[in-house]
Amino acid sequence: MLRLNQLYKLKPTRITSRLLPSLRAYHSIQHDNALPLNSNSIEYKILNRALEEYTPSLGFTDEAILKSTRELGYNDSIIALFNNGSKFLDFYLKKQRLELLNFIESEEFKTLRSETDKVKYLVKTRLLLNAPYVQHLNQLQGRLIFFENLEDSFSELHQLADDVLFYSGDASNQFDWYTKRFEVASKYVMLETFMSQDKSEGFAKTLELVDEKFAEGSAVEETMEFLKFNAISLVSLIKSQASRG
Amino acid sequence: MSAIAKSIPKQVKFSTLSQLKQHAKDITQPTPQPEYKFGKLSNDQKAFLDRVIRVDQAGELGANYIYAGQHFVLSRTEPQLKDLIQHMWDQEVHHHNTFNKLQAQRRVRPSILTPIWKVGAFGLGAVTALISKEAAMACTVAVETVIGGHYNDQLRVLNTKFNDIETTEVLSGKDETGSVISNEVTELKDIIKTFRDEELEHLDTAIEHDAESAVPYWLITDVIKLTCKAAIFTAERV
Ligand SMILES: [Fe+2]
Ligand SMILES: [Fe+2]
Repeated sequence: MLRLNQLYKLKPTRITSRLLPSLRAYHSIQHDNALPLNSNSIEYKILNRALEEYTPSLGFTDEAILKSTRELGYNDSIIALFNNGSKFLDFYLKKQRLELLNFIESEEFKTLRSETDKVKYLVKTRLLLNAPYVQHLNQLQGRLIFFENLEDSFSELHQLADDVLFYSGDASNQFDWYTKRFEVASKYVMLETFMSQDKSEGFAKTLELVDEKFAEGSAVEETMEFLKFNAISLVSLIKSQASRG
Repeated sequence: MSAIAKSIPKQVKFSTLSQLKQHAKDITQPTPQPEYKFGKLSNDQKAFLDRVIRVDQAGELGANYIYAGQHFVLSRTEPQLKDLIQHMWDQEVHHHNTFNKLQAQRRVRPSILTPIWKVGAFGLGAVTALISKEAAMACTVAVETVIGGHYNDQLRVLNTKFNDIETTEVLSGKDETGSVISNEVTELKDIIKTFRDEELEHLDTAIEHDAESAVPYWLITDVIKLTCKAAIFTAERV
């Protein structure tokens, strides 16, 4: 995915002004909550097939999308829908994040008691979902920090951290809400980068590193970076919201 | 649900016993209504609920800290007021805890400015209490007036803008849009109503305790009212 400190160098106003408001707004208990992907759409079917059949060998390429499009009997022109493949990346991130919904129903997850154990389990799970695509992770990360993809991938990263923490029973109510999400997001980025180079059997080294990084009682190491980040986002957030009224 | 049960207005309480039960239940968990299926909330409705929970949580945090500041000073300078302040403070703690639960459960982002709200509110409570007991009461009047009005604004929207959500009776498939409202919305209204009434009690208490003889009363209340309004504007958004 993307290196957070690279973000400072890119126009912070554009990224951060949308960051906080773009987080998921209000989760309903009794009303339907819309999922971010619609598995009945043509777009979903094409991208899903491309991902499952062709991406492991061809990467996140137009070629993979094209093969899937033809196989499903659609006209080649439909590929214009996918916005030079950036929709494909976004689809990948959303789909893998939604996969966590299945894992929180698993027997293994239900036996976990502490919030830390749950966070570790979900981070490991999400990392392992990258396994079939691991030789393309670098390509993926490289493209995600392209400017046109940056807002989406940044927001997806925060959604992932938010999902992981919510499913793990996080109930933080104050400033810690932000520090925890930032901690999970930045560690995840680091772990994913590590994983792309990991040649160990079953990514054992990556999984070990998850345990190490999320060790019980580990402090937020990035506090200073985080404060700097907040100072920037806060100013631009106030500006953007004040002008909206 | 039988026709008779349906004809009973929702908030009727039959006995103290049922009231006690009501209290034992976690008020942030909507009472299930398995007989109905509720469609999606619109983006505007979600954005509204999101703001409501964030700003009310921040407001109750602030109220909590204002009373903490008052208590800190007045328990020393005016010990006869200690219990009275403690009672109002306890209610604020309950309000705040309730919104904390709602915020976590409904996945609402808390206000990023919580450290500032805490310092500011404690300072406001302590400084007005240091001026005089009347000034502290004038501060309560100002704060509770704004919060009471703010809760009323929210109730007005909850009453008028949440009647269009697609609702069907599961068994019969009958369309109940507009006639049956989810408990998620109804019970949020109940929470806000209860809290509003308690805020207005605090307001009355403050007036009974000579808030209006604070000098200069209008200056204190107007400045604090403006501050509260600015804080509400900010906390809804940031
Ligand atoms: Fe309150
Ligand atoms: Fe109050």
